[in-house]
Amino acid sequence: MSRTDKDLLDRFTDILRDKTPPSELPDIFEGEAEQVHAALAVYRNNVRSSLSRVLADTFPVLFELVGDAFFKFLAHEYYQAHPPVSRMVLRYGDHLPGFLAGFEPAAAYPYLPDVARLEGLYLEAYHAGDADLMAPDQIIAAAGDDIEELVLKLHPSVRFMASDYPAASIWQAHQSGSRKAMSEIAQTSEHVLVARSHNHVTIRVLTHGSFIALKALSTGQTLGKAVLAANEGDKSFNPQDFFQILFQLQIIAGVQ
Amino acid sequence: MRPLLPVPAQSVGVGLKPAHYRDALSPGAGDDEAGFDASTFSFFEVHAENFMGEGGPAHAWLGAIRDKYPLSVHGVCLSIGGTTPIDQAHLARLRRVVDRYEPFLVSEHLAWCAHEEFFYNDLIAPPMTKEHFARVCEHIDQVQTGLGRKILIENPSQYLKLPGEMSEPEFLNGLADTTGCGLLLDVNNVYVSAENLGFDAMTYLDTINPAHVGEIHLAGHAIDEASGLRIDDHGSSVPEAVGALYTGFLKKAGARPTLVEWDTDTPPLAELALEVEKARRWMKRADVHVNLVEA
Repeated sequence: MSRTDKDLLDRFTDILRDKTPPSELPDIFEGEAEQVHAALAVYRNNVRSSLSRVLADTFPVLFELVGDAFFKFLAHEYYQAHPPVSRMVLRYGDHLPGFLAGFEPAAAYPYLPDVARLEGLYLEAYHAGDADLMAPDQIIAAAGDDIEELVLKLHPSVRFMASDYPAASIWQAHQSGSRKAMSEIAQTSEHVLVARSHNHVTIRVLTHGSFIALKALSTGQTLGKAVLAANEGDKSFNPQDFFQILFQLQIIAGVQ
Repeated sequence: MRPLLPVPAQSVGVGLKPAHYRDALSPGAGDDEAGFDASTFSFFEVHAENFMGEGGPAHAWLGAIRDKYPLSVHGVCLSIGGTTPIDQAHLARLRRVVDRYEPFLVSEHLAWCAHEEFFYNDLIAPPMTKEHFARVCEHIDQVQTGLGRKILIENPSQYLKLPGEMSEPEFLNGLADTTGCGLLLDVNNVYVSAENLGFDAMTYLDTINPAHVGEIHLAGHAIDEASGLRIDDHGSSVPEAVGALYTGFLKKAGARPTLVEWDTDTPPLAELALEVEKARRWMKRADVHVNLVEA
């Protein structure tokens, strides 16, 4: 029975995914063994290096934190565990934070998965849908008398992350212009907001109370209920401060 | 309504990367020595997959650039040359990009980058069998129907001879004859494949039906020291050997919109402007009538 083209690609991809050891060269390729070996090595290397580059582009701070050699090792192990299934290379790194959390060689650096998670959220915020922002006076006018019952629509880019580590501060320290050393970063947990306004993504650390309130608003709860939840979760929560921050953030895209 | 921008056959453009957006919109802003102006680049080409997000800065920049320049959209993930059926969700995403930016050209590859459920992010040449030819024709039909327009198909770079009773030019000419698609002739890929597989590049180019060719790609490549294989990495200046083949093809075919690709360690636009000028000199050398029409 003649071999089909699908059989050929099945065997080709077994090589790309290291399922076929090079010593068991398939007889489907023409030419001398040495040349075939070299060519297959090029294909394997192209796939590996292009996918490693996708991860480096997705997680630039993680890349800086662990260095080129460790990152390539991580990228290869990740490729073996989670070969890409989506044509959207932006999604290839989706499982990396979880993978990193269980990755023994990185166990001494337990903050790395959260830094990676934050970079994933940055990318989501960067590509999220567009929406016009509402100016504070428009919001106040729309609220009318009953500000407690106000339901806000937040910008589609808004993302939240609670970290046991100073993930946002570590991220900030690795942005251009920042020269803060890791040793200067306080070892504390952080509540982080990621959002895009005017086509610029920012990462901010919020108080626990503001974080609770914003998260409640993002799920469609009224301003009154959001403040109540924040008061319960954070005894030092100050609603006046929160309102001020809420308007400064420029993340309100409408009222319902 | 976007203005219709004329794209003469003598156009030379470059592949656009995010680092270029600002310079592309205001060439030479704050820099008298920029080395290029708005007329240097006849058009820009972008990879479709970089504009498949919902919104944000990528779309804001490309929208502004599309208002000033003709745009070509180059898809890299449809895997038209594979044995796995076309991913309809991905085709729909490409349709959205094409509808949004109304490019003057849309192109994809005679290559596979996905097989079964997995995606490999590399463009690999398919077997050139008659059985597979029929399948690829079907894939192109689906894509052209799905997009509601003609596409160009690019020749792959090859490192390994795969079994198949058709030659690559025969396969490509046949795709165009059967489906009505055009061809995107990547002269660097022809050179790389010819060196790696040991065939004559000019004979290959002579066999391509020039009537099908709607665009030409030029790029640089690397040499793998261990094996001596040429690697299609788009990471350097276009070499003279590729330029000579390009001139040779144009002598027979006449001018075609030409794109310089530099995808790895991409330099600033000022350096790409030198590559564009080089391509124009090669085009002149072919003695085709070069009359650059202002966009």
